[in-house]
Amino acid sequence: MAGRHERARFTSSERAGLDVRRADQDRTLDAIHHLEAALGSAAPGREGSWLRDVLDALDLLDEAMNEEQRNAEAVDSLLSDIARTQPRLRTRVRGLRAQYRHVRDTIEQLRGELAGRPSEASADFADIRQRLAWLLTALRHQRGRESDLIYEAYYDAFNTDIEAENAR
Amino acid sequence: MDDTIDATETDVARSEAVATNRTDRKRSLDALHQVEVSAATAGPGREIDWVSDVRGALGALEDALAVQAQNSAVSDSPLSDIEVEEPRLRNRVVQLRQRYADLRQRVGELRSQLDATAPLSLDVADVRRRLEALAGELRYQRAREADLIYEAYTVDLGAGD
Repeated sequence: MAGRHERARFTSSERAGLDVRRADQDRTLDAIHHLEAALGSAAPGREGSWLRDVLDALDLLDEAMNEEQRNAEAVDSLLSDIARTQPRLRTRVRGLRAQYRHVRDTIEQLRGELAGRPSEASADFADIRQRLAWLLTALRHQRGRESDLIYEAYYDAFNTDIEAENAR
Repeated sequence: MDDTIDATETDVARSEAVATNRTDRKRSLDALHQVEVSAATAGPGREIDWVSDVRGALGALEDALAVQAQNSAVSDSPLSDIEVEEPRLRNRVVQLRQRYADLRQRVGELRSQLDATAPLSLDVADVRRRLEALAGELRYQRAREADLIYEAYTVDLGAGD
């Protein structure tokens, strides 16, 4: 694979990598929206069912992130390709992967903590909402950074494809 | 007998008001999601397209929040009803309305700033950060609204999200 300004179309393996990434991101986004809805539903007076919904949504997010991280770590993923072929972007790839791991560790830790509460009725919903809001903000931040990186890495191919789309 | 009819009419009116509130919340949530999707697309290197998408999505969010505020201000809305019927919750209704109004204003200010800034001189990371803050505030207010309405009516607005 070529770097920036060396070639101006996606190869079939890059196109496949983009499709996998899009599917991963759609799945994760659905899970984020589920968790958001659970967090934003009424809590005081129904703490037990609120917490169960939050935990279910957190499980869903964990599965989606697990899949996304596994695909991003694969040798034929876009991130692996960028790290291999574009040394100047390697540090950013490493940063993104570290952030993936950090987010997954946080989810794992929160799940364990919430599931291990002695009584669901004792859930401190304001605290849980705040902590999960931070997690979701970190995830959104990561998505933006990843989009920027992939666009920068495949700049010429993106623009050629967009021009081709527009010409149709 | 008359009391029963009155009670039924009140229940129907309340259900309709809650349904309107849910529709308004869904519209503003969809608009917020669109803002976030636009903000998370690649920015640096394609600032003109990026800012155009974000600005459009912010405009839709501003409109959705305006409709929500308008519907919430009418006398038979859940918040107006709580304000009248539940004096102990009145302060929370007043605060909630104020915070929603502040938020709408901040959305409008950010959109106006994007209108007035040349895309190529835009700091994408800074705009994303400000959008995150707005989104966090909107979610916080939505949750507080759901808590309040549940406390007053025992109806979970979030079930419609």
